Amino acid sequence: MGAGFGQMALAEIVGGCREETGKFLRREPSDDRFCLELLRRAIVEGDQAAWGAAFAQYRGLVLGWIRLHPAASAAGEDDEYWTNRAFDRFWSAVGPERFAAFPSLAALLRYLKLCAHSVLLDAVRARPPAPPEALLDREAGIGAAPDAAAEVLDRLDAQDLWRAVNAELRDEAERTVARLCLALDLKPREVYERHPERFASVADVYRVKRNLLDRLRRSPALRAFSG
Amino acid sequence: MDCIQPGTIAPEDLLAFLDGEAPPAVGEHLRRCPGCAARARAYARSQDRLRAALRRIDCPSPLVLGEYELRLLAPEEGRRIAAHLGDCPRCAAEIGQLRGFLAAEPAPTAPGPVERVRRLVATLVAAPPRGAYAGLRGADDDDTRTYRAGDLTLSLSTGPSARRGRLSLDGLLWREGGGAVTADGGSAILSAAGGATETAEIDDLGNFAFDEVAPGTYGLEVALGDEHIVVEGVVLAR
Ligand SMILES: [Zn+2]
Ligand SMILES: [Zn+2]
Repeated sequence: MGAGFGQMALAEIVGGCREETGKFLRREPSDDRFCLELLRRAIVEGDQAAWGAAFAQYRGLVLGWIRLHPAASAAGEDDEYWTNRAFDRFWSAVGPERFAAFPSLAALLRYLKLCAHSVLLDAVRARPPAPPEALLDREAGIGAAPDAAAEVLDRLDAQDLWRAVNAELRDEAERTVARLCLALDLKPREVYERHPERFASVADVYRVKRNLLDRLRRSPALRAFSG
Repeated sequence: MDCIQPGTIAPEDLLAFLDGEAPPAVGEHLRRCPGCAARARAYARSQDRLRAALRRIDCPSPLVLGEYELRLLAPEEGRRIAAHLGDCPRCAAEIGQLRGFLAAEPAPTAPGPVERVRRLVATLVAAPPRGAYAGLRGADDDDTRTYRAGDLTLSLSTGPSARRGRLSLDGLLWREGGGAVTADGGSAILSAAGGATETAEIDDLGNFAFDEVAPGTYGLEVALGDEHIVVEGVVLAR
């Protein structure tokens, strides 16, 4: 960044950024330094006017990205809302200390695009999953009893539960089964395919899983939950 | 409850049955044996509850996955994410989705909404009383500013608001030559530095108003179809 840019009036930077962006979009040679300086003032110097100008400059771009994203329709809320969340995340995730890690305007804008993606994906992940299909009901005519698990869930913090589960694990094989079968919902066959070095066979994964479930169900810390 | 035929079914078989991976004989036995069916049901309940509560508890956030994809993570954390991706089909799918999204319109080369919209930066016609960015300082007779963009003129004026501590901001747009300001309506968007935005409709005569605006510095964007007029650094002060 030439010293000249640091001294320039904000109006000049904003006008330059807009003009150079226009050139860029028309596939003409353009100069990134105006827009970079605008973002530097907003992020590194915390200049509120630069912040507002950068928001105005890139708001349409982010709005377009949100509309393009396949998860936008599933995420609820409107495009404007997600655009604001994407900018919130961008300002907080980049921050003055991290600004220099982005070597170019393109790198910063790519990160802004990641922010748009990540706020939408956070919302999608937070939605409750479809209830597991009860094979037992279908094949053996065994109806699962009505379950108070949802209620229990409200009272139990998932991180606390995960810590309690981890405290019961005895070896690497059990850790693998807990992570892959419980947190990632993989079947023992899929666990064996990923870690043949750790298990003798698919049946071996089932054996480890059965031991683990039995222990979790006996654990005083977990009985209310896993019993 | 005891098994009607002890020794035929191992507990592991019950778990395999729940996954649809047990031999047919296991299902056959479960239909006849209430004791084993009850045990299978108990396993089903335990693992359903645990899975529901622990769903993706160990997964990196979408932002961290993205930083991995963009090579922004420290080497050690990058290795941890790579190992997780080897195990986790859901995170792997999210990375795939992110790649598609990033490639769909490489920032900022591809034509985006910015390109379709003609954006004009308004220039201040009347000089501000003090400071290059003092758009609207609260001087008694000097609270109106006039901006030009293309053939459009925009005048902004502040006034008292019904709400204590707030201001009103009124805008009036007109075109050189007296043409209609907008054929099918438009809106004015006021953006605070914190990212909050407020929108006001523009009427047939080119008027718009924000009634309760907190003092501060704003960006104003006037959207008339695909023509956008941008006014930077609008300072509202009492
Ligand atoms: Zn039995
Ligand atoms: Zn994952």
